[in-house]
Amino acid sequence: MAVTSPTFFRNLTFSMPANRNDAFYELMQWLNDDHATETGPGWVLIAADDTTRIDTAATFTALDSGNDWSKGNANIPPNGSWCVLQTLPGRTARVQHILCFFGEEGASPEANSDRITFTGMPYADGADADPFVVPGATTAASFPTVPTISFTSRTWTEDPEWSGTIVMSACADESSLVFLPSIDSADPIPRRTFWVAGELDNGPVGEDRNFAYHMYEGVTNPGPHIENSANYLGFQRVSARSGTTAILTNGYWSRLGSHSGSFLCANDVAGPLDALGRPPVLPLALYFVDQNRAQQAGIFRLLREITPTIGKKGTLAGDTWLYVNDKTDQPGMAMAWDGVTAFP
Amino acid sequence: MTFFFYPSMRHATAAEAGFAMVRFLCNELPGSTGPDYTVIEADDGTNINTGPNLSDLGVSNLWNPANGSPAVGAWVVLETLNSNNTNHTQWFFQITSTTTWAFFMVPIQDFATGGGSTGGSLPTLPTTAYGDANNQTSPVDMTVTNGVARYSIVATEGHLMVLHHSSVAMSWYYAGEVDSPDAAAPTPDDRAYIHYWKTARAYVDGSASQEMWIRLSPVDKTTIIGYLNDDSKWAIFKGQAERVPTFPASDERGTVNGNDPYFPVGVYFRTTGHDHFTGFLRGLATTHPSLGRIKLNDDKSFLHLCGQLTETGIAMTWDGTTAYG
Repeated sequence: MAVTSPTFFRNLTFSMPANRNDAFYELMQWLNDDHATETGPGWVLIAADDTTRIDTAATFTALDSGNDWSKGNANIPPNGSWCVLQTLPGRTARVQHILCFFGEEGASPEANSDRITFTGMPYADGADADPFVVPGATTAASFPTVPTISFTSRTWTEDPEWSGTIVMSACADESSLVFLPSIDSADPIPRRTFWVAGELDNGPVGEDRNFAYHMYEGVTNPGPHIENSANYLGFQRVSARSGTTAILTNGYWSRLGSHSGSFLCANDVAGPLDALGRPPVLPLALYFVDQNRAQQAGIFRLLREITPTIGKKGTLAGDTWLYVNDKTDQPGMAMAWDGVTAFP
Repeated sequence: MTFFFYPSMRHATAAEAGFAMVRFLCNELPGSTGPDYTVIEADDGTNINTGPNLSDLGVSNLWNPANGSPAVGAWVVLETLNSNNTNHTQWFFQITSTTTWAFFMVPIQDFATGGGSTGGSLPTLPTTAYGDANNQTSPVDMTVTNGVARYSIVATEGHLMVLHHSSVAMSWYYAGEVDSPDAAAPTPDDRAYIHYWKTARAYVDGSASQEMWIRLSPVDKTTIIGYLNDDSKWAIFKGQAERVPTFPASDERGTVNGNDPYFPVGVYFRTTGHDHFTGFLRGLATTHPSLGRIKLNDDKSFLHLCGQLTETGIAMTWDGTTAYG
């Protein structure tokens, strides 16, 4: 399998909260490579539900024009709408189903403007498949039934601070996604505003579903930074060990540093740039500490950490990295970028 | 990039092993295929000649395989090949004694040839060359055996690793390129050559203060860095709150589908004004220290060098075929 260079959803701006659904509708179009201006990775549309009807097609353009998800009309899917995309083979032949729901799974009502819910479903295909099953009828603004093995993350907090003009930025390839938006005219805030999902590199030998999903568990409103708290249970996945579908829930950022003590490379540089004039954008890995199932998941392909001294947001190294950080004492998140587009 | 292996070869003396190593690196050892480094100059203590091959050396030079084999005091300078880019490093090796090998890095490829034999003494090295400090007179020493021992070499066009292993001792050395996760920088690191000078420690040292690696600074290409107190560190992927994946012995091995994990390991220099993450060591991974001291994994893809049970182990890529021992 081959992973090609990532594609980018480049700093499109939307007014929040009024245009929340517009923003995520365009994000899904981009992932489907069916956006008017942004080239995406080409994930395949499986189904789209606009709260009154459900349709299947491979692209939003091909959807029946009576569906608000269709590009055959000027409508925007309302609260309670959802769609499911299927990723492409990355390092292995296995693919995922990714659901985006305009609302909050489990809330009352679920169809609200307070959350966007993403769900990662890692068993979309293969001999042991447990894929998303398209319902026979619309779920009428309720969160759909997802497979037993799925990972639902309630992201996108609609706090008062997350308003005004929001810059939506994302990066994706065949099998992984980083979504890292920010506020246009203000510093990043400690809110659920990002999502990291999909395949990692350097995975366990023989693991053909090396997928993990950010879950926001354990820490209230973790913002866009690399959290080092003992309470931060950021990621979940299915155990890669044979003969088990155990869900691992204790996935931590695994950062470059020294074996002993608290030394971490990203925190050590004396200034915002290392001595080579490079922003210290360091590789970042994921490690699960679940008892009796501790395992390394791999290295993030599109996400790095960046020294906390670099600033709150911007682009670096010829616009090859876009970074966001709501902290001054913890590393920020750096996402692969297109090498052309400066941060607005 | 290609990996070349000289796996688990038994030698009776340090000099014999050193000669075999050089011949392997120059791809002039029958029965082995090496990376084919270039001979810059070779001095057997009496005769000194330039290459480019060992077989091109003078008729009396003991570094020439047709003439015998070099003894204590003999030295050679080799040059690597195009790898990450078209730059190379030169590498000085001397059979210093019956129990010691000595190394210098000459990272700007500016070793001056043409002098007479040094009679076993060190030649004059460029000011940007380095052994175990910022001078050209103190080499990295690797203790080897005055007697039967096993030697293994893993090399590519741009780097080499050497393992010495006897019934009582083990030593290990890395020299040459590392692989950066980023190709470009305002100040490009186009000579990312380092070497390991704590050759008695075939593991990821967990000391709070580390000075494990030495290189010529890529910032000014004149300052030698890494040898001072806490100036250079192994950089491993740590878990949260110091729960280091698969290390030390008290942690779970983290096997998946019966396979032990092998994770990239890098080097970080923190010398003020020259601080940077250099990149990942080539052909080397971290692994659980309980996997055995000099022991292959099941598919022979890695040789575990777990020098200390209480420290993170390292594993050297292996040829997938050759048993050890």
